[in-house]
Amino acid sequence: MIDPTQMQANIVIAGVGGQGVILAGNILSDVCLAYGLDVKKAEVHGMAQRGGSVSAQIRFGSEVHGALIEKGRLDFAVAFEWAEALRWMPLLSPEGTAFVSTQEVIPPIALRDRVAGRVDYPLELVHHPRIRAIDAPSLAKEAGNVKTAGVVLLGALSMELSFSYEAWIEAITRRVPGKVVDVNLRAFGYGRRGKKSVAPYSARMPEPLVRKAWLHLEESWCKGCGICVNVCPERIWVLNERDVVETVSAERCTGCGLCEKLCPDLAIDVLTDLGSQALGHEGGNVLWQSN
Amino acid sequence: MAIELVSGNEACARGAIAAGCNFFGGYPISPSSEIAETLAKLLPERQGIFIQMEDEMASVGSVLGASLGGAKAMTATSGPGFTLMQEHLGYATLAEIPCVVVDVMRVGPSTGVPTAPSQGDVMQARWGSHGDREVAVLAPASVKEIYDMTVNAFNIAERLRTPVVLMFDEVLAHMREGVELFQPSVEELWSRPRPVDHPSSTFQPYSPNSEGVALMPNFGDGYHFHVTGLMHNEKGFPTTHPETIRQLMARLKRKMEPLPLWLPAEHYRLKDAEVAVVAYGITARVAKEAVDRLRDQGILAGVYRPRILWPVGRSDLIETLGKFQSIVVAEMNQGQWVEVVERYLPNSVRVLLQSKLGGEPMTTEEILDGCREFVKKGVRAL
Amino acid sequence: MNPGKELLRQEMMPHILCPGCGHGIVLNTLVRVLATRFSSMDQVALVAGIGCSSRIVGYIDAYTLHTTHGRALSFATGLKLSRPELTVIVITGDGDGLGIGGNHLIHAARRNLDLTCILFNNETYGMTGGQLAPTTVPHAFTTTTPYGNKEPSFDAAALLKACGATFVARGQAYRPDLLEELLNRAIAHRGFSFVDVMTDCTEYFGRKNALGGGSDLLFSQTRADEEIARDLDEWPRLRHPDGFPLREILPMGVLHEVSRPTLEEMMGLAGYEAREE
Repeated sequence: MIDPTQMQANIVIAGVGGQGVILAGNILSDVCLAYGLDVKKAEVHGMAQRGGSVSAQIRFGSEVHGALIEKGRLDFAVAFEWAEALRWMPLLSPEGTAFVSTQEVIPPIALRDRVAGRVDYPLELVHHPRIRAIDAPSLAKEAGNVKTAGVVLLGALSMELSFSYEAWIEAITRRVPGKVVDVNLRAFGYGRRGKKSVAPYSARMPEPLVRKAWLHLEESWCKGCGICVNVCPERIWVLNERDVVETVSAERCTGCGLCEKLCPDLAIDVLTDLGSQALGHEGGNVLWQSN
Repeated sequence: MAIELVSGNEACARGAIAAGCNFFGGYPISPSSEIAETLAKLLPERQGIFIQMEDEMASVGSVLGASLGGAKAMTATSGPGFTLMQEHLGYATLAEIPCVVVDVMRVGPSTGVPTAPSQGDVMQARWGSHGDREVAVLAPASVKEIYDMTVNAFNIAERLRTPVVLMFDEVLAHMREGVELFQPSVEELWSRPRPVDHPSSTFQPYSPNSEGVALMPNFGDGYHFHVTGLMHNEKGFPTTHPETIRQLMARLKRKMEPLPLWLPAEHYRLKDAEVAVVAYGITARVAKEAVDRLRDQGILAGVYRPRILWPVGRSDLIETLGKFQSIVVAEMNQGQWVEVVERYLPNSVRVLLQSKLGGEPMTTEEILDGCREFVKKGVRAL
Repeated sequence: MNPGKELLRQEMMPHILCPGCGHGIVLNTLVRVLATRFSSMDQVALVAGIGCSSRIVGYIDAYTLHTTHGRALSFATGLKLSRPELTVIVITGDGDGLGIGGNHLIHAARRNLDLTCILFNNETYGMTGGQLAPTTVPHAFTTTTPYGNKEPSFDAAALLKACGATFVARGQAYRPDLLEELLNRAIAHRGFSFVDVMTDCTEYFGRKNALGGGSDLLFSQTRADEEIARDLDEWPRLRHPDGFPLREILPMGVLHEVSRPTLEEMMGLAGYEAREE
């Protein structure tokens, strides 16, 4: 193992809201800081308790400039959920490792339009030499609290890094609530031992999303609740200074329709039918049109 | 048509059928239950609907729902049930849904005496529902009149799109009289104003005609519209706009104005009378008998009997009774309609209330007692 | 896009519901169902009581009837009996349907008239300012339970099944696709169908109980945790230090479905067979 003060790595921690992605990222960052390393951590999350993608990109080393990890430069992916792992596989370097929980958080809401259904995991992913599937929920439950699944994965990750066990323990103890320190330390230990790892058998997979989509917002109906902001898997909606939503990077829209179906104000239309020229009603603006 | 021996409640049910009633939603209560029982038998034979609901609120609710579907709908009840119905009567007034509610009055307040008559609901019928509203209340005085007025009640309800209350009492309800019940002709049966050839896109459900009544399509006719108990504009949509509300309230009152002309008060031996007895419903019957007896004694008396208690036929009341110096108002309550008489007649008219409580009907002798009060006080002509 | 938007009364929009209100999502789903199910609204009547939930009928261009508090089902009963060919859908809330209108609800279920009743269950009285409802979970704070709710709450679906409803389902605003399917099946069902829809009151219930905004409440409805939750003592005791279940763990989906003659059939009503499904 190399000298921990000389380590550098690009790591992503990914999951869905409520799984503790941010907490895990903080623990890792603390450990790095304890060794005097320069750490850059970029988070993507909404206010979602649950349901939306959450990720933390962590880059550390003696000196780190850019905050985001580039394609092929990802050393370790830690995915708290199967499908979330997929998003990061293209970034993984040929030598990289992904620690993937076998937990499925079925994309909660109206993903019928987005998800083809229950399909087998692509074989190349299941047998990907750099993926380590870990039954984190079971280990966490055994440790005493299913919510510690993320710490189990951190345990697995810790075996690949040259930071000391004590540094991890200290960071975990500082970061988690006092009442659950013991449970978390136990979970961390299970993760380090790599106990009971299993290969995944199946999961829900997003179908390839190459689709023409129009977004249409009836601005005067929007009350700015922010549900679309938090529910969009691609994070294309933001609230502007008038508390009305607008799009950023709308070209990422996959036409899944979540925002439309969950908009309490019926202000959003997502059109994916190429033949349809008719918008639902007049008075709004076509915000963006792909291709 | 032959003369039949019919009770008041039966006559009411038969009148409803004659008027084309095809929906009854009710809840049992003494002394009105025979109306429901009779219609439970008669309606299904005529492709009508009878349903016994779970309470009186539901009864009027079902009636209003049926009416929106196009049915001629009614319910019947007595005091405690009438109290529970008040909210829906206010709703029917504002939403302008035709319906007929029969209140067979019994002794109250509260459970009172369920099997004894009174005239204690007169003011409840007027002011029982919250808010300010005009009401239509008919007061028949005989079995024949119950039959006829039930038909009239439907006519008024349909033409003016309003709830109409028909009030009588336990004695009339259970009294049998030999009557001939005539089937009104088609022309004599009024129906609600319906839109004809109105394009549904521009149709406004609360835009009034010259009578102040809006055209009323049925649910199911293809005209989509909104019915609400909120103050609404002519499109039927909720509003808090003060001027719109004022206009709506004024129209709802104005459209009821012709009512007293349609059912004018009965003037019994009033023309040359020097003392008048004001009485309605069952009490008017003994009032007439008392007047006859007074005339036998050489005292010129007459009876003024309003057939419609609300809205008050003010001009006829003032014109007819304003010239009297002595008026006896006979009611089986502690004085309800007497307040109308006092309110509208000039101060020169002395008004005396002859009240009857306790669950027994007013007697001729009691009305004579009332008249004699004037004699004692040295009032002219007595 | 949502074809149901064609059914909205444009001049009434935007609606009066608060930002993030779950009722809006149910409205969103309901109009989608109506638009895909029926060629026109000429055979569809929507009847509602009083409350936030009940206001939504005003936004749909059909025969809409906004009645008195709790009594929507009685109006619907009369309407359906007089026009058996209509599809009559009753919109009610938990206070409207289970509180003041509880008597009508249980009797409507017993009669098995061919109505569909959709109960928007946000566990509080929203329109009047967030008071205790018959569905408010124990210990929750409302404006009339400043020391926490001391009463147990109704399980609407279990109640309706016991009353004889022939179709009972539960959905949630959080899963519009499931809800869409449930509403479709409920409307198609011949007989009294009941759908308990879990929604959220953000402005009152959410605020009183420090549960966050519209999306926080919405996402708290997730049932992905359900299986896990059953094993956990601490879930779903969220947020409040004293701890109360944010949501009771309630089964979702079609919970009960049987076939028995409808009241229309028992009465032999002409025209009933023509009812569009």
